[in-house]
Amino acid sequence: MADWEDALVELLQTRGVTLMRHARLLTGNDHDAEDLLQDALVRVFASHRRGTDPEETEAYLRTVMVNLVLDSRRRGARWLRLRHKVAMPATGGEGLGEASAARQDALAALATLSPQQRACLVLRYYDDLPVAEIAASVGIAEGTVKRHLHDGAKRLAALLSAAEEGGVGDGGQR
Amino acid sequence: MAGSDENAEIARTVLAEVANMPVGGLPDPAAVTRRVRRRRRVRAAAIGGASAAVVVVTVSVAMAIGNAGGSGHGTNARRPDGPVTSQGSATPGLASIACGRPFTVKYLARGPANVRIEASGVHDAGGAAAMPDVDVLVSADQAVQISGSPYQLGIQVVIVRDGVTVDRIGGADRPEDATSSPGQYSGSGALARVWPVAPGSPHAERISRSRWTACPGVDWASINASPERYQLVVLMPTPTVFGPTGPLAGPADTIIGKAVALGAVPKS
Repeated sequence: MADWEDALVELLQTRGVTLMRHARLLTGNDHDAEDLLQDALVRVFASHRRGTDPEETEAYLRTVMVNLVLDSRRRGARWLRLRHKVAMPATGGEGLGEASAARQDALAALATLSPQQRACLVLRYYDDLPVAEIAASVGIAEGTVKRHLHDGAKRLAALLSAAEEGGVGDGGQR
Repeated sequence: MAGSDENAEIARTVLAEVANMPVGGLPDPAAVTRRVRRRRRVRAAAIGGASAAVVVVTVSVAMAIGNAGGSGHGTNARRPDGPVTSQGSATPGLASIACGRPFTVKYLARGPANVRIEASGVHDAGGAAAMPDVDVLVSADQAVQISGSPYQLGIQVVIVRDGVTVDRIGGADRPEDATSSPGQYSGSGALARVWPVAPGSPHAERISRSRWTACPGVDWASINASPERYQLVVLMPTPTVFGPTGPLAGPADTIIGKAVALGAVPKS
């Protein structure tokens, strides 16, 4: 087995759950999260630039995941058109059966945000990165990051407030 | 900005809640490994293919000049005596390629987005008397996603002499990367194949002997002794090609392909 294969398996074994959680935050659902993580792994480990340091690899993987999410936005609806051709249709109750209703509402609300909003929120409020670093990482202006943070957080709050009164609507911005 | 602070706190809570939800499943390491290997092969082929293409063009021109003098005879390669039916595995549109029969398949040089297919190399797969493997590149003039079921993207290599099908390499019976079974994982590539192709970054695939399509009784030692007498034709059904905004217009329900003198394809 090649070195990169060992590193890949070890990364999935030791950090897979954490990375899947990160991917779910970026995509807003488990199904796309698995696709995202898999695509990012392929991209990272196919690159000969990848180092052998696990922490370095994970950091690069996270960056690639963010870029892939944002790139999917730039490519418009292509993936949505393609997805039914390349992925298994979702089956009911996959993976989230034990989640609380509140968490389901939170996930549903997160899924309605735009990829940029989700990426900025995750990097700022989950990874605790400063705005300047987010801007550099995502490749947008700091002012744009702040706008995404403001709009995304505001929308999340509004959706959760609505959910408490009767459920998250489907009028998302995707 | 009390509202903004409150919203930010809500966002933190939402993200923490979502992050703490149980994780349904992880990508299958074996599936990821296969995809990484394929991608590495594509990269390697793209680098090697650029230089090989110069050789192909040069030799092809020489062959064209040579062929103007008429086709030669005298090879000892035995042609199959009659048609051999592909055993339920033929690529759609390619089922009419029968061993020992005239090769009459009509194909286009390019599909949507100028998607095209060509042989980039021939590899020894067991000695001079064995059918070789053939490396194939699928390229395009712009960044596209080529999509289809394993059958739709099945590549068939045909060896032709004097207009008659001598042998068939590969086919669509068991694509190399269609290894995931339904339910194995839900990531990309579970059912269909998607080839990301861009200028300078073609899809590369190695086509090997298929027991479903190989013609019986072919003497590859004779073919390899006189490769200039044979044509190598690479074919596939015209795929669905997606650009940035959706499917690209182009010929459909056809076949794309390219013929080249077998002796002109780089060997390794």
